[in-house]
Amino acid sequence: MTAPAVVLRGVGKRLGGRAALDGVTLTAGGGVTALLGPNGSGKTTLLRLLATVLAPDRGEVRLLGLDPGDEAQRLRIRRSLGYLPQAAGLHPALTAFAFVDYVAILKEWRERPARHREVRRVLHLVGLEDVSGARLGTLSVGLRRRVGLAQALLGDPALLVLDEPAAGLDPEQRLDLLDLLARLGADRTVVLSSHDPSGTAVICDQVVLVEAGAVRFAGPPAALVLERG
Amino acid sequence: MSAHPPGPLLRAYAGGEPVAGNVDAHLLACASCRADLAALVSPTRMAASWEAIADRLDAPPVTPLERLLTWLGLHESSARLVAATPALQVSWTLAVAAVVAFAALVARVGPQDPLPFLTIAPLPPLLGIATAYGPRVDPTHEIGLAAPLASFRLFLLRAAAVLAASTLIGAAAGLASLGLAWTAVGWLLPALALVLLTLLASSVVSPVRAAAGVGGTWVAAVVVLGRIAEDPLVVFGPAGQAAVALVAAAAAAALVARRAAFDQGSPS
Repeated sequence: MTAPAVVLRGVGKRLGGRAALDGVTLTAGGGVTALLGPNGSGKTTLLRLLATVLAPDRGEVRLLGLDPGDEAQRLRIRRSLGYLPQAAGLHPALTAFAFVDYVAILKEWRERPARHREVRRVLHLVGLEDVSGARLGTLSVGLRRRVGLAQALLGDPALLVLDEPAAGLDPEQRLDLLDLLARLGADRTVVLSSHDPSGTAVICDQVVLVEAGAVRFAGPPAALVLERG
Repeated sequence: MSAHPPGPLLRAYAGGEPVAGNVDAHLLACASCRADLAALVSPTRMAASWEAIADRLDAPPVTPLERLLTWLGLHESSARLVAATPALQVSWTLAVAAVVAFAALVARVGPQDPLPFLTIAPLPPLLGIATAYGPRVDPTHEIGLAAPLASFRLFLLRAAAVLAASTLIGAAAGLASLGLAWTAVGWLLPALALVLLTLLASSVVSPVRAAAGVGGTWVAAVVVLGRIAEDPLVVFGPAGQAAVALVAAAAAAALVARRAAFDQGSPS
């Protein structure tokens, strides 16, 4: 049996003089795990930690069976990781293709033909092949969010960490995104945050309720409904 | 319409061999022959052709700067990282603008007092570096942190590009204003040392603060040491240059030791 992709034990992190995470213990295996909770509850800090851009002050973190505190193991994690930050800044002057191509280089896709094939693949996956030549500044919020998602899918990562992937999407785009995430979750681990528990719960294998930097509930969506009414 | 090309001719055309007659013109006009041709072309060649067409349509064009960097030996992907980075374009613009403004100032002061030139010439690269890296200037900073390409390498690549551009322009401005005197190049070693110190300080504070701190300290050091030694140019003399070289070497060693600090949650 393979180990869960995400294992956190007693993780704490202080940011700006306050405890952003306090003793978080969490396990997430294959499928989609949604982090729910109010603004400032610690969801983004938790996701940044899973994306290896933050190190915990205390506790144990294992991602894909590896220790992100070790430089060599962190590199191996990053090679199997896709990350969409909450504020995925996109350069407005770049085209969708050029932006994803730029991130592909950051993800070690060095050879141009293979890199461009991969860029086309992920743009097609999120339904953006028709606007790949459009400048990001001219795209709607929803389309820009999908460009952000496309870069996270480069290299078909085993672990996808998505901070508010549905932010700014209209209802139809949201449904398309949920459908895509459900398909992606079939053969990898997807951890995302959401403000929309009812919509997200449909595709989730696990929901995690985060409040004041601590995990208040972790389990199947149905169990959360029973517990919280 | 011209006569349909015979089968062997179409096969040769499909195989990429040179053929007699204007087959292209006929194919453009004849849907039937185009269908025959499609069946003769290997799927691999068809896919490669399609990829080449798609690349022409949506891939970013190779810029003259990328061509230059590739010609200088940089890998295509690294050249694209340098050339396609909007944050870096801003850095370059700022650094170059600062150098040009500075050159104009030097031209007014003239060669009789090289101190202003020697003191200020190493500073424009710092301005470029301050705006080349970090969450405040690079919208993709967070995505870059989570990517396998080391943030330290990316920062060095951008710093080297800014340093090279501003140094070339600064050297040209110095030679044009001061002629072939040692004062025209006496700032190069200090510039390298200040850049390395700024990179090192950026492992602790943001690059903007690092550049401001290092630049301010540099100007103060030149003034104070000049007064103590009663020689305004003491920092740029042989002993001063040797000391600056030692500082540069120590900063480079410390920078390598601190490289992991750029890897997670950079200072802001």
